[in-house]
Formats: sequence, structure tokens, C-alpha cells
Amino acid sequence: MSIAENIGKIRERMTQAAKKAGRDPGSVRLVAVSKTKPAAAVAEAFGCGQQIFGENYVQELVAKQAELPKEISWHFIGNLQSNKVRQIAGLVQLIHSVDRLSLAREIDRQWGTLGKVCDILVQVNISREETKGGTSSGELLGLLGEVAQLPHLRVVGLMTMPPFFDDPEGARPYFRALRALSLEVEQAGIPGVEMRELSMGMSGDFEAAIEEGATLVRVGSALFGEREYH
Amino acid sequence: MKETIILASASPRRSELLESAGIAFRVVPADIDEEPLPAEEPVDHVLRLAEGKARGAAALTEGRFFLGADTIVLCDGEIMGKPKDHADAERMLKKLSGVPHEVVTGFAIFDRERDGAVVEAVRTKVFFKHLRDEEIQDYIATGCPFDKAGGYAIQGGAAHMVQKIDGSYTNVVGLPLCEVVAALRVIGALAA
Repeated sequence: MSIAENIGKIRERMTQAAKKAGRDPGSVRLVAVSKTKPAAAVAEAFGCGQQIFGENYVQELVAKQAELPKEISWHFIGNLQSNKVRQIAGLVQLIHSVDRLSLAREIDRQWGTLGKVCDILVQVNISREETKGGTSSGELLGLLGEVAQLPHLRVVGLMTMPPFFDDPEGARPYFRALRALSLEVEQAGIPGVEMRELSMGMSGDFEAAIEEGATLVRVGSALFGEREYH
Repeated sequence: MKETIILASASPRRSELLESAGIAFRVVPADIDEEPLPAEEPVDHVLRLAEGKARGAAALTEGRFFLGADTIVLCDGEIMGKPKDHADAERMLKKLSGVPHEVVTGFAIFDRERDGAVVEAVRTKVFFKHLRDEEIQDYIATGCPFDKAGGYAIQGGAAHMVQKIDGSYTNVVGLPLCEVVAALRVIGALAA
């Protein structure tokens, strides 16, 4: 199946899931996860109207971006090391994976030197799996309070990575928990912290995520296919 | 070696409570049918669901100790779970307005090695002030009532509605921490 057909199918499923939940389909955006996929595949998807691409590795993102149209919007969705932040400063529209104050401070510093503000999501590790990044539910409010002080960084929502399940319903409780947390954050009313984005749901479970309130779904294999390029 | 504890609930509030007690755990929620059985007593109901969640999580993942919990609000004989919709939330909050009610949390710790569970139910009396209609509407508009038994959370936007409580505060939040920690020690999940 072609990338164009895949995108069409995914968009249709996203619309159906949003309608099922009584949500405006326009309130959910597709992030095409293009890690390990060549620039040509990204160009093809962009040609089909796909706007946002998500990358997990700094070097890969920088290399692809140099080859591709400037109109593409890039999101950083992977584990980010502080010493790599400088390389993507000003180049990405949203970082999904901020989970510690030291990283937030470095983003603030690098975007500050450009005189710009970086939009970020805070990643929450609901499952508390040791192999997953993310702050804990209990530490979230404290971290947000600190991050809100940084002038070149704006928190616009939360992101989570549930454990892997074969069953698309398996992750639903984690999606529901992330939405409950975002409501708690809104209630806390931290100045400068917005909760308009919820990044959750991937190829296997993005419909459940949309039903639970996702505004950004990160879809890779269902869009580009399973094949890895090296 | 310390055995890992699995919390069979994705509730961030329960997670926060366990974390505050310095307990190491993972979260693996079990999704079970939460409808009460016909003529089921409130305590029987929460204990059945708590144990069902603990055993359900044990079926999903490795580990030895599984902690399940279920919270209901009991008002004038009605078992209140999570509101189904806006109208249901409004009805619950109107009923709670100005009258005392009870929050009942049942918890179960299933030990896979012994194939048995310790269960306990804890009750706390909560006194709401009289709520004005616009207070109820404003609170529902926050979206907060929808995943909470009785349609409110004591630690969030509903805190100002509570005049006083009689009993465990953490029980009202969703996990009676004092009793849970004691039970975890008894069953051997935490060092005595």
C-alpha cells in the first residue's frame, strides 16, 4: 500500500474516532513518525498533505531537515539529551519529551540565545516503567511550577508513552489517566502553563487515544509501513 | 530482595499517594466491569471490584503483589460511582449538597505466591456545604467530575465545597494510605 493510501486511511480512522467521542475532528493532529525513514519518504508524505513529522534522534532530524522543504513542521518526540539541544534550537516547533528541569533549562537557554520561545510538552511516565522516560504523576506539578519560570519556554500540554500491548484497548487507562492529570494541572492554574495539547496514541491504539482526548497522535508504522531503511 | 508492587489502577491520585509514601511500584491497570450486582452491599461491592482489579492485573503482568482499589460515594442509600454524563454529575452534586455522605474505598492486595488476597474497606464521612447551582455548573464545566466517584475530587476544584471530614483524608482521595501501608507490611510486600 502506498503512503498516500495509508495517510488517507489513517485520517479517516482519526475522523471516525473523534466523531465517536463527540469531538471536532479538526482538534486532532497527526504527527507522522519518520524516524529511520528516508527524506524521500517524508517528501512523499508531505506531498500528500502531511504537515507534521516527528523525529526521535537529533542527528537524523537535522540531516533530513536540510534536504526537505522549509514548510514542514518538525516535532522532537524522542529521549533528548541536554548536550544535543543546541543542534535543534529554533528548528523544531514542539518538543514532546521534556521530563526534567535540567533539560528544560537547557532548552530555555538555547532558544533564549535566538530570542525565541520553544513550545514543549511534559512527558509523564504513568506506568512507572523504569525503561520509560517521563516525570511521575506526583512530581508533575512541582516540575511545572519550576518550568513555568523559564521565559523562553512555554508548556502547552502533556505526553505519555504507555507500555506496549497487543490489544489496542490495553493503553486506554493510561490515556484516561493523562487526561485526568491535565485537568488537575488546569485546576492548579499555574501561570504560563497551558494544557491544550495531549500527545498520546500510536499506530496500534490512536483511536482509543482520540476517544480519550488526544490532540496529537504519533503514527509511524501504519503510515510509512514496517520496513526499516538503513 | 524487595518484591515489586503493582498498582492495578491508572488513577494519578492513587499513584501520587503511593509515591508520597516512598513505595516502589509499577502501574498496570486492569479494566473490569464496575456495575454493582443487584442488591449488592456497598462494602461487598468495593471489595469485589478491588480484588477483581488486583487479580486482573496479575493476569496481565509479572510480579508478586498486586494492589487494587475501588472508591464509591454512599449518599442516602445510593452507591455513586463515576457520573455517566453532565446530567448525572449535576444530579450527584445536587444530592450531596448540604448533607453528609460517606466515601468508601475497598482495597485488595493479591499475593500471587500464596494465591490469596488481603482485603479491607475504609469509610470516611464527608460534610459538604450547601452548593449554589452556579458552583455546580462551574465545577462540571472543568471536566473534573467525570472520572471521580460521586462526581467530585476533594483535592481539586471541589476542595472548597467540603466543610469537614471525619476519618481518613487519603481514603477520600482514593487510597487509605495508612491502612494500605499497614496491610503491605502484614502481607510481606514491605519490610516490617
